[in-house]
Amino acid sequence: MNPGIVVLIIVGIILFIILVWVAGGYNSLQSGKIKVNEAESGIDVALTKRFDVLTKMVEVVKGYAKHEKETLEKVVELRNSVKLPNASIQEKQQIVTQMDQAMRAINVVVEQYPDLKANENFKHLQVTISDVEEHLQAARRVYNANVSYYNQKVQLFPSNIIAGMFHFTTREFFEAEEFKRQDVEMKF
Amino acid sequence: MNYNQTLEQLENKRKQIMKKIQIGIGIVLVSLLVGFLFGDTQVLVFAGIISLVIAVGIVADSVTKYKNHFKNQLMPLLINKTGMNLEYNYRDGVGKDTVMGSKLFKKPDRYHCEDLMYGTFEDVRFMSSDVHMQERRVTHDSKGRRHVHYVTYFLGRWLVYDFNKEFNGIIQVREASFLEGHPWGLNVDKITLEDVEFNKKFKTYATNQHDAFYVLTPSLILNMKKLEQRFPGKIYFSFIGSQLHIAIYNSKNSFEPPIFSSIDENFINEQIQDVIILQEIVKELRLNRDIFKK
Repeated sequence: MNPGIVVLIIVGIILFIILVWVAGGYNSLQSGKIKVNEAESGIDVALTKRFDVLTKMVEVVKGYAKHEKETLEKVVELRNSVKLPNASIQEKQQIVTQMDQAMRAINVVVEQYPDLKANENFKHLQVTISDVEEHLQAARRVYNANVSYYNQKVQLFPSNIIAGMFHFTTREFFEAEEFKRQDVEMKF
Repeated sequence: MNYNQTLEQLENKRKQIMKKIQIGIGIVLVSLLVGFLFGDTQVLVFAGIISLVIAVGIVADSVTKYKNHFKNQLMPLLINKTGMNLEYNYRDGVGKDTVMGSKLFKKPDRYHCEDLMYGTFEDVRFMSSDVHMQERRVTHDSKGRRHVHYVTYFLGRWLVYDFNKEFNGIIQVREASFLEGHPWGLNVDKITLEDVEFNKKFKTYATNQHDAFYVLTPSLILNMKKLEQRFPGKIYFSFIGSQLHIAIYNSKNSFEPPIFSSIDENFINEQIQDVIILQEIVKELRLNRDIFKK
């Protein structure tokens, strides 16, 4: 066989292998990115639920709260102004922090008014918010697990070559210190 | 009948068994000697078999009565000692359908269960029993003869609890081993949790990644690891349909009295611990958190 053809065949095989490798790497990164996005929308769903329940709790508590009124009203304002899917991870973290503050304010009010504790409607909201908290924590852990996997792909050799070629960049973790390693424990 | 009297009766029964075992051995030895004196191999084998059957017959009945006496008389007293609100029926067990509902193992060809315990602790219903599952295998020898035998693929304790979180689908946590593969016939994905040690010890499968993280919280993961250390053998968890199944494959038959030694304090404490663990699991895995029950 003509040596030129042999060289062409070898080059063709090498190119084909590279193409398959690039396609595989690209698909893997793309699917990692999709998983991260899906997990982020999971956080949005959990945050929306938390907002809804928290707003209802604020409605019930509002009449009792004097000193904490401002903190509670902030949450309601936040609920009306924020468009969750458009918010960045950092903004979402800030939203969580503000919701935590509101939750603490509600706790303070509940401690001061035992009849509020006995309120059936409020009890139901307590149950709901606890479950919502668990879902939010799960969504956060799922997101971080997916980000961790995706970031490794973006940063480690050889997949970082493909990541660089197609402009895949690392994603930010959803850090919330107090929820990081412990279960959600709502105290009323 | 009080505790000491029951222990005394059991010890007497055990001694009778020991005597019968000695008599049985004597019968076998005498028969073999007679067969040997006749000098005929066929007579020797025949005498050996017949005497062995007689000896086993003499002993088996006494052993069954001794075990039943232990389970009928002593076990209720031991359960009383734990202070638990518990029903015990040694002839019954966790049903095959319930066990199959966990989707942890394939359908057995032979199923046996006993030592059923059930009750409620802090509003959490639970039940437990010994479960033995076997698979039928058919082999053919070089002459084309068919041989059927049964192979055990689970022998141990099966525990079922009410589970306090609502979710759809299934989550399985299986102790990792070389032979452990992807659960057969289940549409589940392998889930990697953030606990590296847990991932090494167990393989987690779930129909949904979010549900797995929702159910397997960091504290539950920690307590599952502790539970694994408490039980020798393999441990499996299945969260399905508001229930938690815990299967402990330790090749052990629980609540069986010893025959070649007396029932002593160590043995008694072991049995009590095996009962108490049922409610300790409720606390350890925090199944008594009722905040999710709507």
